[in-house]
Amino acid sequence: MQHDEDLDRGLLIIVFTLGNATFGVNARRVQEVVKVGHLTCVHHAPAAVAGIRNLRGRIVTVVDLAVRLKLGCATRGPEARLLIMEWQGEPIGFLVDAVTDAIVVSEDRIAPPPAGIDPVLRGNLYGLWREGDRLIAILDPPALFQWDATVIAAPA
Amino acid sequence: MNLAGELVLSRNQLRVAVTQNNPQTLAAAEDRINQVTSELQTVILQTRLQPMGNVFAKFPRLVRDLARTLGKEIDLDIQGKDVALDRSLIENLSDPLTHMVRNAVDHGLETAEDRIRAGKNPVGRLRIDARHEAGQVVVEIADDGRGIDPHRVAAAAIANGLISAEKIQGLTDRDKQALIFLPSLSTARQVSDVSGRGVGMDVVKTNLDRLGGQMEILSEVGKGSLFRIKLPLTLAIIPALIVSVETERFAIPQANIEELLRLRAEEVQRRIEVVGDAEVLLLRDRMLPLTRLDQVLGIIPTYIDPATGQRRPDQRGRLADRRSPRHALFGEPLAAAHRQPAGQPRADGRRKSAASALEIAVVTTGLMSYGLVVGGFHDAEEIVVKPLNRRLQHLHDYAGATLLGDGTVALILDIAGVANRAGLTSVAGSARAVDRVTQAETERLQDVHFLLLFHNRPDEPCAVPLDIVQRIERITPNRIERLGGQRTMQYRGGSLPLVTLADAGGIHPIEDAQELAVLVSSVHGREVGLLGAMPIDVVETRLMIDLITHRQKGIAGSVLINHRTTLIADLHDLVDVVHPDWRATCRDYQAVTVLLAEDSDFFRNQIKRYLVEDGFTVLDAVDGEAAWELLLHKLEQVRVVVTDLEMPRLNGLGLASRIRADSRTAHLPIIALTSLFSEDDIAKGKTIGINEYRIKLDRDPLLVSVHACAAA
Repeated sequence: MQHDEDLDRGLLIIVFTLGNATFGVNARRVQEVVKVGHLTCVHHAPAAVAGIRNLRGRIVTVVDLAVRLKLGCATRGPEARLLIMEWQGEPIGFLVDAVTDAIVVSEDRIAPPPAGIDPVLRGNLYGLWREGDRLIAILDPPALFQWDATVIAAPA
Repeated sequence: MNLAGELVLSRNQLRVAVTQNNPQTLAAAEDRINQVTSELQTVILQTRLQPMGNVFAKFPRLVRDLARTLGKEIDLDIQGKDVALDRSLIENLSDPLTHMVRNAVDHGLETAEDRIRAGKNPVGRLRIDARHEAGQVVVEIADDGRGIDPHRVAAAAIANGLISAEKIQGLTDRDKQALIFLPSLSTARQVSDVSGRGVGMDVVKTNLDRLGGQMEILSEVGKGSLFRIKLPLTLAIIPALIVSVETERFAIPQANIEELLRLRAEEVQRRIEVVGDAEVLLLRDRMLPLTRLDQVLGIIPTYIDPATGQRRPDQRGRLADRRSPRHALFGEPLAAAHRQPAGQPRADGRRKSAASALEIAVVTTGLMSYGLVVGGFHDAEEIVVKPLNRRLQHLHDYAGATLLGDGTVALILDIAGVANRAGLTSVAGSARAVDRVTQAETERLQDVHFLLLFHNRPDEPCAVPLDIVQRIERITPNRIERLGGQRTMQYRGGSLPLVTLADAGGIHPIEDAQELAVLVSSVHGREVGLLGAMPIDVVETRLMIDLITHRQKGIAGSVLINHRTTLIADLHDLVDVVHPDWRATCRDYQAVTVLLAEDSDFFRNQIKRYLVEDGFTVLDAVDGEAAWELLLHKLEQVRVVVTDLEMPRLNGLGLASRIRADSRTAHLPIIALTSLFSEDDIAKGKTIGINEYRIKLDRDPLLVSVHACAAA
């Protein structure tokens, strides 16, 4: 029962890693977590676009979250996963190094993103969550989708 | 057959086959599943796809009833009833299309009296047309009515407070016409039962937007309007060829494919020419620009290392590198970073591999064709087009994506986009290749010249273009009168000045043969006779006229006829020498710039000279495409367009329709030149907007037309 109360007051976060850093994202935003699968490269696409893949008949655009956050690029090891989210009716899969767990955090204890970190990263942060010695950077999905501001047309 | 039942049975069969691991049963199961699937597919598709005819079906009656109510006569032409679209699209198209048809009948087409007053056929024409085009479905509604007056639309928009008067200033006519999509705008003078209630085009636009459609208006006041709707093929199914480059696969719509070629290694050198920094494919009598898909897309070439069996980056950049080192001056390939440093030994055995052969898809965008080198050809498949993410749609290289049989995604190539990316259409890069292609096409399309052959001396065959000769008179030498150093003869109650080729010097004087021919023509509005010796003959030649070797005063050039070099007389030059005063008397007009499009060098130079002599400034172009570019550069100057009909790349009709379609140029008068024209051609040209037809080299009527157009 304790757990359910947590959920009522808090936020379910999917926790994943990119390189050495640990990130989280609101689980309500994530439709599913899938293995990377076969990616088809889209040549001349923005650097963050790792490719496109088929997910049960839908074309998912895969964005390398590490590239998106200017943290190098995802390793694409056996633990690599796609976080499938939907934006303006179109599915986007964020490529991460590994999905570790899901935790419940209480919204009022999320610290605001500190000043002095990389502005690209900061612009995408919802806040920081500290749990023991783990520091989880919680990302802000709406900001994530603006992965190439120069070519985004305003939604019709 | 009960397909669902069949499918279950097949699954059971498959299950047994897998359990038993029996290849025979497995193959049988596969067969059965294949069959059931294709039948299912057909059935399901048929239920989803519906022909446009379902929407169009109600239009004949709608138009007939409306026409009767409004007292108009309308000829309705419906095309493309069979074009199939997804049912949901069809259903949602019905209302907007109906509205537009009503609009066309009510606002677009005039009453019979109005049409007669405007000099049009009293019967108005309404054309509704659907077709597949470049992976989209295009629906057009065209009428030959009064067109959309941009000024009236603008005035109505201002009057309704929809846009400010200042803002209108900056709009082109086309932008103003597009104002009809603003909500609550109606230009109809009176509200009718049919339309004009101020709800209309904005609703149409909203509906189409929801379907992902785009609408375009091409309208000219007094001529008519064309509404073009482009619908995405989100659900449409198109036949495509799957090709591969390295490990990647792409789909090319069959509509874009002309043919597929495989050049064996030993053919590569013979069939691929290097022109400047570009490569050209020789295909029968054509020369096509060639581009490599891996380079266009930046795919790193690899090869399979025979020692390890692994794929490795390939160091060869260009096709030509496969041939000989002397082509090493090629531009750096895109994969430069992956090339091994020069001098490093190449892996053995690669040159012998089949990879040295080339697979080339000859593709066309409609406007241009080119060779696309791919890694290999795979199956032809019916593919379902799925759009790319909105944020990838700026990549014009792709028309979308599709799912292949193994569940992976393949990108659908946009052939026009790939050509752009490769720089095939731009002037830079492969301009010379394009030039070569143009040249080759020019030779192929070379105009037929009809020449009138005569002789100056028995061993000096000469000719004039037949077009300029009005009559031929046979005379004996004693009819020639010499007065004051000039030759004349009595002719139709007057005195006809005569010239000979020798008058301009440099040519032997004509021998006083027993039988002479006088070729009567007209120069600067006066009759003149060119004196030649018999026999005379008319020949038809497609050969290029050499404008350089024998060019001199009085000689336009030369051409080989019956294996003999034949001089072509330039009557205007001769007259200018003998009667320099004639030219001074010709009318002097203000400098008006004429754009001349003509692919034959001979005709172009001749016509240009006529025009220049008559005081025009002439911009000349070798084909429609070049003329169009030139026109866009010199928009302010050009007042009249004179164009040949048959030209490579873009012909005269194409040029004319492009000029008419662009609001910047739509007003220009267009005179079409032709060597032979049929009534059909004229009718076709008139609908496109060609003002006049003139025969090439029929100088004076042409000049009259140009003057009339320039003065208009």
